[in-house]
Amino acid sequence: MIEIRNVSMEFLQSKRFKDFFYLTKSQKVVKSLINVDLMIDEGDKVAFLGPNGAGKTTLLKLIGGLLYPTYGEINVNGYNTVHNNLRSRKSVGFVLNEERSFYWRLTAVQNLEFFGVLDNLEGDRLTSKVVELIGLVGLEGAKHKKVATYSSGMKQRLAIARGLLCDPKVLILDEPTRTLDPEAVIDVKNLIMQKIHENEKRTLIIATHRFDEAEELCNKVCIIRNGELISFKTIDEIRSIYGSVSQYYHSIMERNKKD
Amino acid sequence: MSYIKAKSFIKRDFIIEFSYKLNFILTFITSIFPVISFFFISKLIAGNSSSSLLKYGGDYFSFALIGIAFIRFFQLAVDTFSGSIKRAQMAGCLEAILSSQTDSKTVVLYSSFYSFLSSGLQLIIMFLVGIIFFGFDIHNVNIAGAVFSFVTSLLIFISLGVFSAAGTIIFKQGEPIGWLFGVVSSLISGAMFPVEVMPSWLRFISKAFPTTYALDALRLALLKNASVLVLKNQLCILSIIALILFPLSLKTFEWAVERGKRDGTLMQY
Repeated sequence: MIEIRNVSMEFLQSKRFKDFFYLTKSQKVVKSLINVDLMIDEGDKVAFLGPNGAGKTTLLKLIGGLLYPTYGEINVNGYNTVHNNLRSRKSVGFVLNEERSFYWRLTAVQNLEFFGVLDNLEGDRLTSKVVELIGLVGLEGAKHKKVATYSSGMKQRLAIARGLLCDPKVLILDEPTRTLDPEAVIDVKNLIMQKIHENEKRTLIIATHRFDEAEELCNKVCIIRNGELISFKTIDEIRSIYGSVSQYYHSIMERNKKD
Repeated sequence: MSYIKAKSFIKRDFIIEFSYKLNFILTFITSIFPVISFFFISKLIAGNSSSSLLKYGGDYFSFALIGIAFIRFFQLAVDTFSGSIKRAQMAGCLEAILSSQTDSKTVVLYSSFYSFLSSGLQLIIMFLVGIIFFGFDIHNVNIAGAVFSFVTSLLIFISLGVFSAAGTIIFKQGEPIGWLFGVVSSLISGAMFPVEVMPSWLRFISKAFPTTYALDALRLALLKNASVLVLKNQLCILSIIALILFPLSLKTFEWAVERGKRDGTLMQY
């Protein structure tokens, strides 16, 4: 279970020497999230929708323990992401959308082995996990090629494999199909759908701009706008009230603009 | 698990470094050039060397070889940590590493292991060239004194390196600790000339730099067979500095990472 309680996140806009010691009273900050409250149950598949800069990635990074909230708190499976950062991270797999998050001069296997060791895997367990995940994401044919030679789609599939190394209870995917061509989008979506989605107990959190992804992969949808969580509904509710995720999104955004 | 993690970091860095083959080879070859240069400089000043060299046996080449070889090694100890953080930030891997189940202190320490092995090998090459081709005398080496001096000194420079890495996370550009160490300490700590030849006020300042004690202890152990007992003053100073700086540097680094997570600047460079 993930509890997000009254979380706000402020980023320092610039950092000067005097900011380092907090000597200035009025630092320039950008409010990325404002008073977000959210409960995600075990096994939930949640999509975060919202325009660019809405705060989706920030919220994912807060859940993954890569950022600490300025106000409020987040607990992942009972562990506070600030005070028990390492423990809270143990149950989280993070699929970054950053293509450059791999060592390009290493092969896919070498990359996964390195990150696997960081996730405390070793020996036969590590080897078999890497083989299993390479197979799962369909990179057997290119597993000994340097990542530098990989296409965006292949890197994305490798990123998913890395996210699954620690067999996480919570899998976070940050715009997993952002830079992919239409065919690769279908590939990655099918991969998530068929292989990852089938684990009913695994919680899945996806930040995305694609309504079809939210509709097909998730059972709950959350809309974030200007750092505020403006709506959170189940897919069933959305279908019965709005018909589709797309209509739900546009309707909520329109209403919010008027407000 | 710690050993496996250390091995994994070394393997990663070796594969990356070895993939740039020319650079890999040149790194080791270029370490020989300063040895050759200082051999000829020592020829030039032979017979006119300062009496302050007598403390170390009177041979300028041996004196300078120890100075440049160890300063080079310690400089790397300081630079390697911030360098590995910077490379991980620029390559985009830092976030992936820090989202793993390994804590940030382990990451920064293990990230430096390959650099230490590579620089250790360069250090050995420099001394081998000095011994084989230029007559560096190894008959007066006190191994215990040299090892003790080296390890305590190394701990200090690792600490400075970890401080520097924390500085990189907080300030992003220009690692002032590395710069201060590199430029100032090699100038006034007696890397290339004895501190005794400097004016008294500079000699006074040189006492504030651990490099001064480290090089003094290493030279006495390697050239004058000085035992741990003989080096007790230098080793005490070095040990106290190491005992204070090492845990403090790790705490500072941890704080810097938390600070970066708190204000959202961890990935900025």
